Formats: sequence, C-alpha cells, structure tokens
Amino acid sequence: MSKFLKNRGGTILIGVGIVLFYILMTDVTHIADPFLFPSLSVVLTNGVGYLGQLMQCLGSSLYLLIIAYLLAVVTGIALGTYIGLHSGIRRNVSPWIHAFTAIPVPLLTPYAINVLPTFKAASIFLIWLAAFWIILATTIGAVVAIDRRYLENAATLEMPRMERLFRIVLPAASPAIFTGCSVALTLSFMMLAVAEMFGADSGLAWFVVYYSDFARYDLVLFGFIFTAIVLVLVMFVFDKIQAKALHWTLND
Amino acid sequence: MQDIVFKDLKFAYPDEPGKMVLGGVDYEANKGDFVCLLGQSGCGKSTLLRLVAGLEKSNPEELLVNGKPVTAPSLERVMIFQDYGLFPWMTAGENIMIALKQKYKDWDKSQRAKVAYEWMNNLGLDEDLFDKLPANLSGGQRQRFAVARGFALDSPVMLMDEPFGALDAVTKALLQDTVVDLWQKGGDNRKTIFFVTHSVEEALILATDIVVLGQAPSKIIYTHHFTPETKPTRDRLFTDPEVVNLREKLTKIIDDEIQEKARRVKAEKEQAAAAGETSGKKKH
Ligand SMILES: Nc1ncnc2c1ncn2[C@@H]1O[C@H](COP(=O)(O)OP(=O)(O)O)[C@@H](O)[C@H]1O
Ligand SMILES: [Mg+2]
Repeated sequence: MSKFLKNRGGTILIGVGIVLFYILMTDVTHIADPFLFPSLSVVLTNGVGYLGQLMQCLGSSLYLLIIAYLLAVVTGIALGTYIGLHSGIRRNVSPWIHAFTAIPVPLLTPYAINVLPTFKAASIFLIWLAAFWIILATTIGAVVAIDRRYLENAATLEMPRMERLFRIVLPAASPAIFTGCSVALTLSFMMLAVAEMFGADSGLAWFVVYYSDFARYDLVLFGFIFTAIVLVLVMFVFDKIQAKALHWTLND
Repeated sequence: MQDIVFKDLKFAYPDEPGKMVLGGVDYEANKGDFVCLLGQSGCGKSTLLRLVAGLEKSNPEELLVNGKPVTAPSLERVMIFQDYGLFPWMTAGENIMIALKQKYKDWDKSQRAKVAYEWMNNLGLDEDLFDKLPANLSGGQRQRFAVARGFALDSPVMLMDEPFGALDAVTKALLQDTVVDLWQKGGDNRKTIFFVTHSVEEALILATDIVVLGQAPSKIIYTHHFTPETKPTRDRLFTDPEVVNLREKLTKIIDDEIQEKARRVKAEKEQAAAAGETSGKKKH
C-alpha cells in the first residue's frame, strides 16, 4: 500500500485537486452556473438512483466496443502483417491506406446507419473502422521495421511460416503494434459516443445525451463521472495486458 | 565430405550492383577445417559468411558446399550472429529450445530441454539462467547461449561473425578455448568452422587455416595453414619465435592494405577535386 502511494500519490493528489476546484467553483464561490454545474453533493445523491440504468448502459456500450475493437485488432494486425511482409503489395496499397486514414470516420455515420440493417451493425462497423486504420497502418510500419537480422536468424533455422509469424514476426513487431492498438482504443471510445448519439436507445453516451435533452445536468455530470471511471478501468486492463505481452522490453 | 569451394566468387549487393564487394575469391575448405577470416573492416568478411550461409545469393558455379550450390539458408550451415543471436522476447533457454525444435522435429519438449541444459553446461552456464531473458544476461552469458545454441544444432558447418568482438579479454579467452575444445571433440566428424575476426591473435589461437582478404573488391591476399604440430597455443603466442614472426607478418599485411587503401582514397579525392576545378573553369 505504501509503495502504491509512493508511485501513485500524485495521481490521487491531482484527482483531489480537480474535485476541490469543482467544489470551489460551485458550492464555495458560486462562480459556475449552478444550472449547468450542479453541486457535487446534488450530483451524487441524485445520480445514485440511476446506477442501475447506468450499468445497463455500460453493458450495451461495452458490447459494441468489445466486439468492434477486437474485430479491428484481429483484422488490422492480420492484414497489416500480411501487407508488411510483402513489399510488392505494400507499395500498391500504401497510398490508399493513407487516403482512407485521412477520412474522419464520424462523417460516415449517416451512410453506415442508412446502409446497414440495424443500429448495432452500423455502430460496430463504424467503431471497427475507426480503430482498424490506425492498427493496420502501425502494424505495417512495425513489421517493415523489424530488424532484418531477427528474420535472418529465423531463416537459418528453417523455421516454418506459421511458427515464424507467431514466434518471430509478431513478437518483434509487438511494441509498435501495441502503441497502435492503444491509440485505436481511444478512437473507438470516441466513435462509440458518436454512434450512440445517433440511433441508440441505451449506452453511456446515450445516457448523457438523453438527460441533457431534459436539462438534467446533475445526471449528465454523473454520467460523465461514471464513464470516466469505466475508461480508466478499461485502460488499466489494456495496460496490464500490454505489460504482460511486452515484459521482455523492460529490464528487471 | 563437407567441402566448401569458392571458385572465383564475385559478389555485389543487388542494391549497389556497380560496387563489387568480392572480386574473385578462390578457396577450398576441407571438412573439419577451422578457417579464420582476417582483413580490414569493410573488405567483405561478413559478406563472404552471408554468402556461405545462403543469406545472400551467389552465382551457382562460384560457391559449392558438398558439390552443391548454395540456394537458401539451411540448418546445415548454422550462423552465430554477434548481437542478434538470441531473440529478446524468449528466455535464453527457449532460444535454444526453439532452434532444437526446427532440427529435431520428433523430439518432445523434455528431450529438447535436456539437450539444452547439456549444452548450457558445456558452455559453463548455470541452470538458473535458462529462464532469464537475454536482456537480463551479461554480454558474455548471451554469447555463450548463442554458441550453445549453435553447437546444439550440431550442423556440419558453423559460421561465426566476430562472435566475441564485444567481450572483455578474460571472457573472450575462455570462450575461445571452449570453442576450440568443442570443435576438437568432434574428432573425425569435426565441424567446418568459418570464423571472422579482426584480431590476429584470435585467429592464431583458433585457426587451422588463416585467410586474409584484401580491400574491396576483395580477393584472398594471404593464406596460412597450420598442421597439428605447428598449431599455435595460447602460451606460445608471444614466446615461440615462429608464431611471433607470423603474427608480425599478418599484422603488417593487414596494415599495408589499410594504408594502401587510404592512399587510394586520397588519390581519388584529389582527382575528383581536380576534375571539379577544371569543369568549374570551363564554365567561365
Ligand atoms: N546489405 C548491404 N547492402 C549494400 N552494401 C553492403 C551491405 N552490407 C555490406 N555492404 C557493403 O559491402 C562491403 C563489405 O561489407 P562487410 O562484408 O560487412 O565487410 P566486413 O565484414 O569485412 O567489415 C562494405 O563496403 C559495405 O558497405
Ligand atoms: Mg563484418
């Protein structure tokens, strides 16, 4: 515990600072508009009653997010590795990848919702797309940048293709791939929120938009805090997985 | 029969076809030879090794191993790399295991582990280093693992490119003796070893045959063969007058090449500068 405090004391201090600042701006000085920024005690007491609904929202958000994100990770890494290992294909498709990466995915929302049969399918498609390009692009870059000598070492061992892929190519590229996946995770959060603002009837972003229409800013704020905690937890899980996969890059 | 024959071997890297690196290397290594390659840096020693390994493409008539051209890398010609010999994402033990897995496909995991431990032992590596990551080993331990892996594969040809270049003198001497021991234990089935070094002393201690490459596009400018009787040992290196003479001779040959190259580069530069001046004058 004391070690945790030593390492993360600053994190806690910043959190306390933000809360104190909010209290200062609302309850103490009344500088902030009390309608848009209700007192923290009001937010918490009113919000607690909606926890059940929020948990349901969390379920539907995570459902979309996890399916779409995992799909993006698998397709992005698989295709990226393939393109990265084949320089001929890479030359021909790279300009297209750059072009597609430049399109802001939220702009495609109306198309996706109209073309795909259900809201769920459209959301998953959009979140997948938002995460896919960055994973694809970083994976290609990571595979291209693998030190030739590792591949040569594997070649002198006559390692079969599949084993070479899973034991050499992917581990060697994994540090950069993880960076891409981490950025993609943030992008898919954002795209999730955008998608939920269109046709959803549940979800964390939906909750916030729904209650802001009723001017219930206490619940809006409660939804924000809840979402923030969820994001921190998801990132924590991601960091744990990353630390485990990349343990070899850290010295004891 | 594991002869390696170079017949007027010429080579340029595909991305710089105009710049010949090897300008016709003629040599014949017999099975069980321990060949040390000497020569100034950039003369093509690593390139020669990479050609034998099959990592670069050679002309089919110009390089023959056992009478056959080298077409691709092979477990029959194992390479010990200087810094990239171990995959950093596997433990040191796994690095040996994965190599054994490619060579002995029918072995199970415990068999592979047993042989891996045996070779670690042969190289003087503690058993508890098996589960360490390469990053957490010393440079000497890493190189021992790389050598253990190479010998564990039991290939008839071993290629070593300055494997001990970055080690301290004591570790280096120990590893040199270990490698000579392991090689000699092979008896009539000794491996053929090609060993690149920039140290004349290292070559004298290890080699049955010393080969000196000239500047690029390089040819062989000197060879020396030791019989079992004339083979220098570490204690005779600085005392035996014949060995001392040979050492001085080799050092001088390499130094002369370096100076010759420096002269040539300087002359080329002057020529280029002179050409620049005249073309500059023409403009006026
Ligand atoms: N992959 C490569 N592509 C092009 N040129 C190379 C490559 N590797 C080495 N060379 C060139 O070939 C020459 C010989 O290099 P090398 O075999 O590494 O020499 P050495 O090992 O004797 O120091 C050098 O001029 C070097 O610049
Ligand atoms: Mg070299």
